[in-house]
Amino acid sequence: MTEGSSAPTGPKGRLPLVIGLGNEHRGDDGSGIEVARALRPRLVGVARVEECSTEGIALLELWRDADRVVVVDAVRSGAVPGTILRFEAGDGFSPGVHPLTSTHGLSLAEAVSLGRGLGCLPRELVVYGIEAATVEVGDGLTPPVARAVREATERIVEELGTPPPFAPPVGRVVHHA
Amino acid sequence: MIRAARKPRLGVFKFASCDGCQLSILDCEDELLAIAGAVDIADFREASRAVLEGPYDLSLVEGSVTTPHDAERIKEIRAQSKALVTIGACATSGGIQALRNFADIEEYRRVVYARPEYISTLATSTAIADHVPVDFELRGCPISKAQLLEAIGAFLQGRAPNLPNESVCIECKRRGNVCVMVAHGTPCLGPVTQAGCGAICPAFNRGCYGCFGPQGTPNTVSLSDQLKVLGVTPPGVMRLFRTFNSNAPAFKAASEAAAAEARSA
Amino acid sequence: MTERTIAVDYLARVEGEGALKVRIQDNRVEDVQLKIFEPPRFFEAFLRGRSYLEAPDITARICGICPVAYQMSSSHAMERALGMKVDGPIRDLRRLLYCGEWIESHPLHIYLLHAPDFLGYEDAIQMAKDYPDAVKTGLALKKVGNALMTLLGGREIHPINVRVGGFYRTPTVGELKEFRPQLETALKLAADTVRFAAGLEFPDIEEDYEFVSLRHPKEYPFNEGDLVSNKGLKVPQDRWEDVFEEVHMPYANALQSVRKGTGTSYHVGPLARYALNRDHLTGGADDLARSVGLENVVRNPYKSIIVRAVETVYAVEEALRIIDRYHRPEKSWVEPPPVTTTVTGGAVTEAPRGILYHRYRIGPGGLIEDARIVAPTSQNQKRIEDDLRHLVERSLSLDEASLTDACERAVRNYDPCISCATHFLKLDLERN
Repeated sequence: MTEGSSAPTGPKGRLPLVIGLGNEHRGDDGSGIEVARALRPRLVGVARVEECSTEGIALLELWRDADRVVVVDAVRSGAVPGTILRFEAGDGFSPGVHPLTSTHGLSLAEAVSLGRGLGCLPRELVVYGIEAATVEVGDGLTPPVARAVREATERIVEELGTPPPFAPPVGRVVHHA
Repeated sequence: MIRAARKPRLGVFKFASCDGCQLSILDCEDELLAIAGAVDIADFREASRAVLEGPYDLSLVEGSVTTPHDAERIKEIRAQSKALVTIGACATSGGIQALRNFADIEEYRRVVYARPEYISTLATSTAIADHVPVDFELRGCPISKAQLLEAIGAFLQGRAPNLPNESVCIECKRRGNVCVMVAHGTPCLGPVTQAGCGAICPAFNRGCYGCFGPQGTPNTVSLSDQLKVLGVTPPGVMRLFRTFNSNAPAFKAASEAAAAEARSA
Repeated sequence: MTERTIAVDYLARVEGEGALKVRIQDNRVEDVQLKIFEPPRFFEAFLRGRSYLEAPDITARICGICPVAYQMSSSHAMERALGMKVDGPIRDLRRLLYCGEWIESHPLHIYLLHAPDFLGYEDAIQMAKDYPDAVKTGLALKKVGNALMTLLGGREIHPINVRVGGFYRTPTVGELKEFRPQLETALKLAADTVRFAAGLEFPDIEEDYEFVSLRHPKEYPFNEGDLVSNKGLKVPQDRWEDVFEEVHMPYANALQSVRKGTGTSYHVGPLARYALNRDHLTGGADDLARSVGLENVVRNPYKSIIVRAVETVYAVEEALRIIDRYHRPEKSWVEPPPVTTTVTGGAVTEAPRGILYHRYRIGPGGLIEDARIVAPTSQNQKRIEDDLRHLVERSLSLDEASLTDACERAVRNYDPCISCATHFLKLDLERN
């Protein structure tokens, strides 16, 4: 290795990666995208937040070098709309048991299976699924899903968040020279 | 232990230098805040905008005198300081820039600065002690952090700093180094150089180059003879003694003897 | 007709001795002078007649904060003159040593010299009363950088282990592996530093800089690569003198460098490296930069504090990468060939503050005949004056004290190293 290499050889300082998956023009299928947008300002310096509207194969590329990944996606499992499911891609997760929606191409479930088969899954993969009421064409979330977006956001902030470094003392007025 | 009504005032002053010795103070990472708690840092421009006027209980002076302005400034600092400690080779012997003392200063000015008339500088670089009385000297290029802390601590406790002026050889033995001169034939100034660095160069497989200056009783004549046995030419011996403490009397004499030999060769 | 002069007698929280003078005539900025009254030490003159092997030790004494930069630039320049190529683990160890210097220098500036400006304190000691964890983090990071330089170099200020061709002694794999845990701790602290810096408040200022840095095909640059800029410059690094020239300003004891031909200023250092090598910032450094919303090119000089923090993360990660692939070479240095003719060589390496150029001519027998050294801060001097001119033009209504403060802050954005600039802040505001 005489010229040096810029490729990371391990996790080192990688931040967790949050991926909001879905299609914001198909009703509740946009819930993942909405969670990503809500998370971005809350996780500044703490995690990378990406939106992904294309099919599942793109995920393999997005999370290729990541160590710890959280994916947020809409789910159709027959549960009450707005239900939040959380599972880790190690515990018996398989497409048959947890059918996830995909309005095009490979679903998240299939991407995970393919990733597992190819040996390119992140070391830690957590999936938050938000039960959709409808995925018909149209903008906007149904009320229960909109509430679930807010709640999922808080849960992920709690799971990943770090307190702000070196918080100034209470009551001190910060002024600038 | 000094129990003063107020905390002792510390001033840190810079003359012609690379700033490395002042930086050694900031490099005492574990002790820095404790030091700052024990003294009033009255003047330390590298670290702070806040400046308290003198007088100072302890002044640390880094750098050598190379301009008429600085020759006056050190006198003012001495007048304001109860104790004045010089830190580093520049302050204790004139530093690497004392090489100008062996050369033609006009030539130097022409070489370096495009418009030489703009620079007002002295033909010599001299130690602080050549201008004002000095209470204690910390040698080194840079100084040793451990020695610095010992000196500040000693001052705060009202006693003399406990620092040896033995040769680097003693430190080499303590560290368990193989003698690079005896075992490898590597030229080394250890026998004539003051201890303080912990004998790092021999530990890293090279000869000492004298950055702590001459030890208490340096036998440079004998060492010069030995260097020639090892194959160092007279110009090489001259260069060995003429680096960061070229203006220290023992090293100056040794380099001038070698220079004379080189000329007559 | 009114004339105002702003004078900062002595720039504080800046390495070395500098001062500032600004003259305003009828609400127009007439003149800006960054004065260096650091006494000149004439390194380029007394290097003549020295053995080329002495250059790394002697030139290190130009600067106590970035001695490794001088050791690297001088070693590489001599090796270019002698036609030597240093590769493999020795090349890696040089990058590792430079990582140590960045990890020491950047947090020193961020926490001890720069952050007090943003948070309104006279110095870090005062700041530590309200932000103890921040200052302790800075000191802890600096300590890791120093420890790495001590491990590889023998000591952190003026390391003794660097020579033309490599090192006097290379570390064992065990010694480096033993050091790893310190770097892992440093990684967390460096990430905290990015978050801290990104959370500060910044004036909304942008300047149209010509950024100049090295660019290597594969890595964020330390020792290798071409000289490039964001305005079309691209030359091999030893052609520095073809594209830049130095001018001596009467009010300063230092030379100012400008672009040859146009005579315009340029900007070196973290903002320049970042702008020109963003694609080589990988891993956590890349993640953090994106996560805090840092643009790919930062033109706000106050935000240099964030970029320094990101570079610190890069340096820690790069140090870990190098340690993980290191194997001890058979010989710790490449033996230089005998010097039988007159040869010349130049090199540029990336000091924490920016590009540092060395060029030497060596005569037969190996004595230096001529030396040229251009420090990063002297390359930024004219650009600092340009920034100040724009700042004062924007801020004419401020009172004396506030304007002086603002000017000092603008200088500190560059982390200037004035001892280097004079191997070379008395702000005089004439306002009528």
